Amino acid sequence: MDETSLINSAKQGDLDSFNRLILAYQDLVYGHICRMLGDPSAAEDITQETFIAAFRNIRQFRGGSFRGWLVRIAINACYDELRRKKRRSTVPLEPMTADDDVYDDMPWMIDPGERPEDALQRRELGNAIQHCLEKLQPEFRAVVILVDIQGMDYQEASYSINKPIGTIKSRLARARLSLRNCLQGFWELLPSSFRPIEEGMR
Amino acid sequence: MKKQLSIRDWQVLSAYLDDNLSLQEKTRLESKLSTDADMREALEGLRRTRLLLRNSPQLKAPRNFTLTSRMVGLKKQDRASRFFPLLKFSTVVASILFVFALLGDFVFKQTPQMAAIQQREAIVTQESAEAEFTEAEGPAAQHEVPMMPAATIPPTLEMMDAEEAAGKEPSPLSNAPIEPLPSTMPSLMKIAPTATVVEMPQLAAAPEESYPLPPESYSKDFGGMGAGMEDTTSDVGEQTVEEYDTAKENNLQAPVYSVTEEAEPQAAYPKVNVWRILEIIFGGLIVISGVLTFILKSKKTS
Repeated sequence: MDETSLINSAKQGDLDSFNRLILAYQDLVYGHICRMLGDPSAAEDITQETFIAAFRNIRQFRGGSFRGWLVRIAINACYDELRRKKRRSTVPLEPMTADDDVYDDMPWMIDPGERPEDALQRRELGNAIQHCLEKLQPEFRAVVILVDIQGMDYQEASYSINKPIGTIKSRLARARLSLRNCLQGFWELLPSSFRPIEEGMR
Repeated sequence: MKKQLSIRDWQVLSAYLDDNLSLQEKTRLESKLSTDADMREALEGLRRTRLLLRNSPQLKAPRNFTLTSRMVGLKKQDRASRFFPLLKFSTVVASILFVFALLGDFVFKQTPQMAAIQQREAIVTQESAEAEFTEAEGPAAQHEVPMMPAATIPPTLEMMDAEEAAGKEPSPLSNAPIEPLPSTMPSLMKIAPTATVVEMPQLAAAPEESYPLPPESYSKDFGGMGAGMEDTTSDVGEQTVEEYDTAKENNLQAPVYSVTEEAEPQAAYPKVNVWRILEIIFGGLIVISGVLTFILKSKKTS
């Protein structure tokens, strides 16, 4: 069954068809939400809420990119969650244990096929990127996640955040500039291929 | 000294990386990049950042987020539960109708007595109306439309009993001489007043036995009608028969009979209590639909 047929069946209330769509997009949606929130456990909840909201509103989907439509719901849910978090106390960037210790391992970062040093490097790189992403405003963060991490084009990103392409270009440029500046503090953590040319001259 | 790039420059560089510039903009930027080292450095920085982001690990969902019916509030309705609203509605309607049937039964149970009183009132009213009519028409009219019913109006049992009890003379109406009816107005003979009057003793005396008798039982006398009556009634019947005979002798049509036939439905009081039947029907409906509704509801909640 192709995506359009599954969407049409889901519009008729067929939950099984919608679950197939969920299986196809859950990594994308969860990944985006987790990047936006920086909190895997909250991301799980918001991902679930996103899919529930998507199923309930699937009749409002009028064609186009289903992925973009799902991500739009996810982004709006993230904005709500971030606003809620802002009203409440701050949440640590790293997941905490019951004893308030930081987890050494981020479960979603583990790749069983990796060598320990690669895993370490990857984890550090991932932490560095996440750290810099969280320094961005949510609107900028959303765009850079969509285009540079999820690999969407401007058109789809524009559809997902419901803003014109000009806004996407502008936000993306600002976000990249901020990330560039932020990541300069982590060059020693980055693989040599990612280090700037002038680093060797310092 | 490094040149500070404007936001516009960064935007152009960012769009250039993504190949999102028009041909004209692209040419202009490329010529600028060939001469400006700061611009080249900025572009390189953006390229690496973008590369870094694109190579960042893709996060995997820690579990499946598939939905269940409960999560989305979907309730699988079985066939029977579709009838739940209908059953609920029918229970309510049957209850309302049952109440109406009860009320109807209560009200119409008193009908025989009330009817007797009402008919007595009707007689009086009619008599006075006829009297007025006769007076208005004058002697000629009196001749044409005589007070024929007077002879055939038997007083009700209660009236007679009351008169007897009071030691009064019987009502002049009951002893009124029968005046011959002119044959010129046969149609008028069929006017209802007499009919109502004839039924009176029946209703007053025995409402349960008050089913109209077949027309032939009226043709000769009131024996048939009086068969189920008490003695007093048969007296009245005899009296009326005499009057009838007199009228017959005078070659008159006996308006009483023809009129009586017309008046049958008016006088009839159903032997089978319709209200009781309705109560049973509606009561049964309430029980059936109520029980079914209860079962479905308990199924739903479980």
